[in-house]
Formats: sequence, C-alpha cells, structure tokens
Amino acid sequence: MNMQGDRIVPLTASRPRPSRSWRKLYFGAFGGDPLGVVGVVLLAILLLTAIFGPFLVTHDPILTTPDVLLPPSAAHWLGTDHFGRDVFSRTITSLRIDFIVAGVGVSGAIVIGSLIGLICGYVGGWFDDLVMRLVDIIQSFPLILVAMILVLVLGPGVESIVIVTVLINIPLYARVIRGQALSKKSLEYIDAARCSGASEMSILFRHLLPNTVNPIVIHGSLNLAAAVGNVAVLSFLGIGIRPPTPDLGVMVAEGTNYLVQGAWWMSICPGLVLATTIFSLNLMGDALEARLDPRRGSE
Amino acid sequence: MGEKLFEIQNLSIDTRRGGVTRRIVENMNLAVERGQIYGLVGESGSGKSISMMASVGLAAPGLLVRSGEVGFGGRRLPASDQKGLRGNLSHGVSLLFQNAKGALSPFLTTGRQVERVLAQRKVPKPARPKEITELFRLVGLNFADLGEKYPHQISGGQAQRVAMACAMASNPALLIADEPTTALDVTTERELLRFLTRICRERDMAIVLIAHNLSLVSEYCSGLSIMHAGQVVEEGALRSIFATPLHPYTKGLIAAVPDVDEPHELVPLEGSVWGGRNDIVRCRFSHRCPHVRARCEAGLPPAIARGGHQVHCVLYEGEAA
Amino acid sequence: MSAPALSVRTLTKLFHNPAAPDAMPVGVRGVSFDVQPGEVVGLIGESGCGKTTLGRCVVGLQSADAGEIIVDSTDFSALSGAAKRRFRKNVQIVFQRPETCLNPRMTVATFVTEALRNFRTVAREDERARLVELATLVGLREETLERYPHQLSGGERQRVAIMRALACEPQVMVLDEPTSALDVSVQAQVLRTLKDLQVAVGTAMLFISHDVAVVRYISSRVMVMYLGVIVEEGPADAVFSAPSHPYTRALLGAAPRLTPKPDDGIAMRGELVLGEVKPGECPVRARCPLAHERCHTAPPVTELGGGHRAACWLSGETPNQNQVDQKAAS
Ligand SMILES: Nc1ncnc2c1ncn2[C@@H]1O[C@H](COP(=O)(O)OP(=O)(O)O)[C@@H](O)[C@H]1O
Ligand SMILES: Nc1ncnc2c1ncn2[C@@H]1O[C@H](COP(=O)(O)OP(=O)(O)O)[C@@H](O)[C@H]1O
Ligand code: SF4
Ligand code: SF4
Ligand SMILES: [Mg+2]
Ligand SMILES: [Mg+2]
Repeated sequence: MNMQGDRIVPLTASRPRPSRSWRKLYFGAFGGDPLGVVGVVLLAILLLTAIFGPFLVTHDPILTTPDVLLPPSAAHWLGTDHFGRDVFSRTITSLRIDFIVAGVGVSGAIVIGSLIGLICGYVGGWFDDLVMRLVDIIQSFPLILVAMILVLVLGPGVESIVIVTVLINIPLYARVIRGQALSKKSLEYIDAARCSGASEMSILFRHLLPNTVNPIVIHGSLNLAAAVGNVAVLSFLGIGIRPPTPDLGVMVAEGTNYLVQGAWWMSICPGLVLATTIFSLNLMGDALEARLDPRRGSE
Repeated sequence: MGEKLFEIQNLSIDTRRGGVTRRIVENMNLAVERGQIYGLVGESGSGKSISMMASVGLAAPGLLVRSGEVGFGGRRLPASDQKGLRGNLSHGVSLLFQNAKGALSPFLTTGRQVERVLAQRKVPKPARPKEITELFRLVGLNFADLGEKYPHQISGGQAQRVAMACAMASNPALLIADEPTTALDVTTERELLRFLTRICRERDMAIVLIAHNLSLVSEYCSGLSIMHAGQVVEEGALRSIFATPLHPYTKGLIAAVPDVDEPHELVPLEGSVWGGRNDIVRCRFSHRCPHVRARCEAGLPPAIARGGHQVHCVLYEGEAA
Repeated sequence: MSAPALSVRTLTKLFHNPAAPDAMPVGVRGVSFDVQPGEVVGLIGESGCGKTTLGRCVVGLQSADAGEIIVDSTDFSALSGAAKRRFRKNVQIVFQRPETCLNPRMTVATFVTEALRNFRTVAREDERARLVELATLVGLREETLERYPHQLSGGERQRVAIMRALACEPQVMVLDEPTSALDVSVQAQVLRTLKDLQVAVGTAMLFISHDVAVVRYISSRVMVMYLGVIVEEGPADAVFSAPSHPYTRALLGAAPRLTPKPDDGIAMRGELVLGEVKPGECPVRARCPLAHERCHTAPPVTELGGGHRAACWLSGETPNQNQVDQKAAS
C-alpha cells in the first residue's frame, strides 16, 4: 500500500526548476529561442499585412482587365494573371481571407471543443465515455472526406470551409481540455470552492475552466498554422473557397496551369506566402511549447 | 577529539539570475570526525543541500562556487575544482536522499540495484550474493523477502532502506543523508535512524545528517551546525548548543518547536529566510533578529567560541569566553 | 452538557483495492466521536490510516458508505442537492497542501468573497469590511487581499485557506494537516494564529496531523487512529501522559524530541502491511510488541475514566502486565 500520502513538501518561495537554464527564464518568452523570434516576427508581418490588406492593395483583386499574364513591373509588382488581375493585390487579399477563415474556424473549434472537454472531464462516467467516443469518430474521418461531405450538403463556399475547420478541430481541444479538467478537478481549490457553497456551474466555469485553458495557447497557434494550410489545400482541390474569391490555394492551383507558359509569378508568389505562413506559425508553436513546458507547471 | 575525516573551509556559492548575483552559501566551515554523526539543520532554502552537494563535487550546473576548500581522506582540493572533488570523494562518500523511490531504478529488482553498486566496486561475481544478503541484513531487511521485488512493490520505508543498502555497498567512510526520513512516518523514521546509528558504530562510518527540524538530530548527532540563509550561525558540540543556545536564530528555532511532553507556548520566528537586503555583507539573520544593531549589517558577524561551540553573532563580542 | 457541534456516528468509508480484492480494504471503519462547541479535537495517525478520508467525509466532500454526521441536529450525510450546498456553510475544511489549496486565477479577495456571497453571511456593502476583519483575524495584511496565490508564501496561503473557512462562519472546522508542509517557524506562526482564533471565534475544530507534538499543542482532546479505527481517545493530558494503547505509546515514543526521552521499549515492528491484517483480530496485532493469544479477537473498548478509552486487551489491566519484557520472547 502507499504509505507516502503525507509526504512533506518543503515549500520554498522561489524553488528553482533545475531543468531550466536561468538565461532562458530571463530572456522571457522567445528571447532564448532565436527560431521562435523569427517565427513571431514573420507572423507579425503576415498578420499586419492581412489586417491592413485593404490599404496595401494597389488594384482591385477581382477586377478583370485586358492586361493578361503581364510579368512583374512597376505597375503590377507581381505581375497579372490570366484574367489580367493584379497578383500582388490578390495575394494580400487571399492571405486576409485565409487567415479569417482559419481563425474563425479554429476559434469555433476552441469554444465548442473546450466546452465538450470541460464537461466530459468534470462529469466523467458514461456521459464522458459516450461523448468522447463520438469525438473519436469525428477524428477518425479523413479531412478531405469530411470536407467533401459538407460541401456536398452545404454547397461550396467560405461558410462550408469554416464549418469544416471547426468540426475537424473540435477533437483536439475536447481532448486537451478534458485531460486538464480531469487532472484539476480533484485539486483542493475545487473542493474549497464547493465548501464555499459554489454551484456546479460556478465550479465548472469560474474555477475549473480558467485553470484549464493554458495549453490552448500552444495548440491554438500550431492549429492555426495547420488550418491556414488546410483551407488552402481544400481550395486548391476545388472543394473550398471558389474563384473568383481570392485564396492562396486557388491562386496556386490556377497558377500551375500557366507555369508551362512561363508565367511563374502567378503561382510562386502566393505559394511562397503560404509556405511562410505555415512555417512561421510552426516556429512560434514550437517555441511556445518549449516555454509552456508542462514540467514548469502550467501556472 | 577524534581524527578529522571531512572538512569544508570557507565555502561560498553564488547564483546569477536576471543579472543579479545572490550569495546562497557564504563562508561555510564544517568539520566531521571519523565515525561521527553530524547534524546540519536549517529551514528549507537555507542552503543545506546546495552546500553539501557542492562539497562533494555535485554542484548543480549554473551555481558558481566562489571560494572554499574541501578536505577528505588526507587530500585537500579547492571547491571550485568540482571534477577533482568528485574524483577524490567518489570512493568513500555515499549519498542518501529524501525520495528513495525516485533514486532507485524502477526497472531493477532491489537485489539488482545493490548488485550494481557492488559491480562498480569490482566485487567478483561469486562473492556478490553473500555480500548483498549481508547488506540487506545490515539495513534490517530480509533478502529472501524483498530481494526479488521491484521498487513499486515495496513501501517507502523499505525503499529508503534499499537505498541505504546501495549507499553502504561501497563501504563509505562518510554518508551524506539529505533529509532521509522526511517522507516517512515517525515510527519508520525512528527505526531507520536507529539503524543508521548502529551501522555507524559497526563500520566506523561518519554521517552528515541534514534535517529541517532540530528535534530530529537531538538524539542521534554529536556535532551540529545550524544554517540560516547560507550562513552557519552556530556550530559545535550538540550537547553544548542544546544546553546553552546562543544565537537568536537557534533560540528562535527551539522556541518554535512544539514539545510532545511539556506543551509550551510557541514563539514564532517572524519573517522568512531570504528576506532582507542582498546588497551588503551582513548577518543574514538581521532582518528577523530582535536584537539587531547597526554592527550586524556592517560585515560578517564574528565567530565566537563559547563552551563547546561557536556562535556567529555580534552580541557575544567582547564578552569573556 | 450542551449539544455537540459535531457528532459522528459509525462513519464508514472503505476503499477496496481492485488489484487485490481479498486484501483488507482501507479507509474509515465505524468511527464515532463528538466535538463540543469551542473544542479542538486532535486526530493522530500515520499516513494512510484514513485521517483525510474521515475529514473529507465529515465536510461532505466524500460520501460515506454508512454512518451519520450530525451538525445542528441535522444529518449532513443524508442531505443532497441545494440543501446540502446550503448546509456546507456549517462544516468547513482547510487542506494540507499550500500549493493547490487556492485557485491560481483568483485573488484572495475574490476567492474568499465567494463564500461570503454564497452563504450571505454579510450584506454586499459590508463585504469589504468583513474581508479586512477576517484577514486581520488570521494575521494577514490588507494588501494581501489583492494578491494572487503565486505571490504568497506557503504560510500565507494556509492563512488564506483558514480565512476562507472562517468566512463561512462554520459550526465546526476540519483542519487536515494545515501545517505539515510548512517550516517550523512558519508552522509556529500558523499554530499560534489558530490558537488565537480559538479564543477569538470559538469555532469547534477537528485538527488532523501526523505530528503528535503539534496535536498536543493545539488540542484539548485527542483521538489516535490506526487502519481506519480509533484505538485510543481521551483528554490530551491523559492520553499523552498516560498512553494506554501500545500503538499510541509507540507513536509517542517515536516522536522526535529536543530532549530525547528514555525508551520504554514499545515500538511498532516494521510498517503496516495490509496482507498481514486479518479481519476480526486486533488490527495492530501484526506489528504489536505486546501481542498475545487474546489479540486474535478484536479487543473491546476499555473505559479508563474521564473519557479516556482504549481498544486493547491490556488496557485497564495492572500496569506491570503491560511491560514489554513479559512478552519479549514473542
Ligand atoms: N540550481 C540552483 N540554482 C540557483 N539557485 C538554487 C539552485 N538550487 C537551489 N537554489 C537556491 O539555493 C537556496 C538553498 O537551497 P537548498 O540548498 O536546496 O536549501 P535546503 O537544502 O537548505 O532546503 C535556495 O534559496 C534555492 O532557491
Ligand atoms: N479515492 C480513493 N480511492 C482509493 N483509495 C483511496 C482513496 N482515497 C484514499 N484512499 C486510500 O485510503 C487510505 C487512507 O487514505 P487517507 O485518508 O488519505 O489517509 P491519511 O490522511 O491518514 O494519510 C490510503 O491507503 C489511500 O491510499
Ligand atoms: S549578528 Fe546581529 S542580527 Fe545577527 S543574530 Fe547577532 S544580533 Fe542578531
Ligand atoms: S489488543 Fe493485543 S495486539 Fe492489539 S494492541 Fe493490544 S496487545 Fe497489541
Ligand atoms: Mg534540501
Ligand atoms: Mg492525509
């Protein structure tokens, strides 16, 4: 039997974590991690570009003109496409749209997934078993299949792709938050709240939830990267955002048709932006993961 | 007076954090005689573990050993030469920690754990089983019962004994026991410490017993150092310190411990170990001391010999010894 | 005598080990006791003997298998839903671990105000004044109220935990090893505060600890627990100066002391091994240095006078029969 229940843990206000170097702690979030800084800077640039996109564009991104397939020049910095649309303006607008679609989708997944995870972790029992089994089922479907089914049902467009993004990401958050809720629900402060007369709702949302959300920062940023990629991939395959709405995937897809004609600028530029987005988000996610290492405690 | 076995002189250790250097062990001296059980007591965070680890060459990376010498087995080495210390002390010093289950490998039976140490000592294979059984007996375990069990199958007290057997396997002249019983129940604690005492006598082994509680060391130790915020405040013969505690911290610790036999009002020590100023050389107790005066913050307090021990406090300066 | 603040009747809560269904279940078995208003009752025992389980059952955080927990002539254990939630006001608990006893995302004020508000102990406009009053009572400065747990030391966190319990104005408070994780100096501060509170507020307390010296300091009556049963109880002075049960004697004998005490030869053998304990016999038998024939049957509770009782065949017999040498051969 376990006779160590009452192990005495001497408490030192500033107990150092031996596995961390002081320098890392000192330089804060990403200072000790140059790759993380690169990721943050890249992402900041991309995000700013997406946010201020409407002020940066030089041309109307969906206006067709007779100046088709022009190479990069002073008038069209990244050239024009087969409809004579400005590639630079379209790239920026695409970035903005992809970020919005991925961001809305991931946020939706965070809200719904966390709620499911929180309740399952707290309630436990058959309810937990049942709901988590459903979550497993969602997760076991391949992305493309879910997307195709939804697009069949709802028709193609931005809404469908948002819903796809929400659906396929719910399991991630449900599982993460459920794990957190399971480990935190038996801590003394939850019992203390119960003794203070807190209702189940209050325990769930005021005491448990705020203490489970930390890992979302890590997962959210990594997940956003994947989601931007997925939106682009689905659009590339023609089951996501449809032309003429600009989208990085759509642009790459259209551009590849003209590569043989030497119009490299049509696909290379949006492709590079897409790659940079995913790359920067991954760098940042890795850095965050290292920083919010569970061994350092989640508080 | 017996023969000196282990000696630390002027040990100072710093840490750097956020560009601020903090002295966590200051000018520490300690001397243990052959076969002696020596207590090192202080509240948690006082620097007991750090100083002992540094003195056997196991200072955590990132700690800066600024000064000091360690003598063991007739050799003296500067404390900054951690690698040299490890080499000099690895044969002859064993360590025992609070978390015995954590110290044992979860994948080896208790018998194999002990055998591993014997193998390191190059004990020939045929001689090992007998020696293992003997070591188990020494720490009060029965090899037949426990030798084939894994650490998770035994209790905390038994695990601590297996760790003790491992420590004894290298036949050390000195055992550093860092709060070995803190996680155990009192009855188990007493049994374990009794065994340690007996082994000391049988094998002429010395022990540095680190504890955060004065009442734990009173029965077993003959020498004692009391540490506060990295400074030894009072040291020497335990009986002398207990009979006439001099340093305000020692007195405070004694007044703060509840007594089983004659309950008395507790007089708590105010403040915490590491409060107070860090930018001057001072008595590190000055921020908690009821007798503090200007002199206390104008340098290290002097070491004053009184009876069988030494106290580091300006209160006793100039008084006849 | 007035009605007790807390009456526990044959409380049972057992945990069976699924890996070893035949082994003795652990937990609490049929414990009964009273705590009078304003009294501090100490509960001593080694870790794993069921102290926390008892405490959690008393405050309704764990549901008992059987038994009654009577506070204010109401059986708390029979309540459920909203009635139970309202009734929690009367029985409060302070936990052992300062690291996890406070919500890391709440300031002290928010955390404690919750209790004030849920039980409507004061009007909204008086909440702040009450918080300050409570903080002073437990020895915290007013600015502590705006702090988060990570900005507090271990001792301060335990004070906040005590403050939260007090805020409910309970009939009885369970303190589950409130000072075990603290350094001696901080422990002394917290114990002093608790004793002062005892004078100022007069709440009845059940003080759980494995440290006999701490229990001696704080309690007027003590109970000694072994494997889920109370083997000895009585006024603190009687139990500590004339312990009757061999387990109590071993526990007292093993307690570390500033001035070591001569050994009385009663020491428990080894550690508790559940497999060695047979149902129906004295639970201490496998480790008891005085065990003999009769001990294969569970001993009755012997009254030793003045509320001092012990569950051992040797209790109340002539003292020299109680010596270890008589049984040393066993
Ligand atoms: N690796 C480390 N780096 C920097 N500071 C440390 C390290 N380990 C411990 N400390 C600090 O040194 C002080 C003494 O620690 P320690 O020796 O563990 O205390 P004790 O054993 O007396 O409880 C503490 O204040 C602690 O915060
Ligand atoms: N929820 C639980 N499930 C199973 N076993 C438990 C549970 N809670 C406690 N126990 C067991 O019950 C015994 C008594 O535990 P506890 O009441 O915490 O003892 P104490 O507080 O005296 O150390 C222990 O052996 C422990 O492992
Ligand atoms: S040196 Fe000064 S501050 Fe330090 S203990 Fe002595 S009187 Fe107190
Ligand atoms: S009844 Fe027997 S076994 Fe039990 S405590 Fe008394 S003497 Fe020991
Ligand atoms: Mg230590
Ligand atoms: Mg407990």
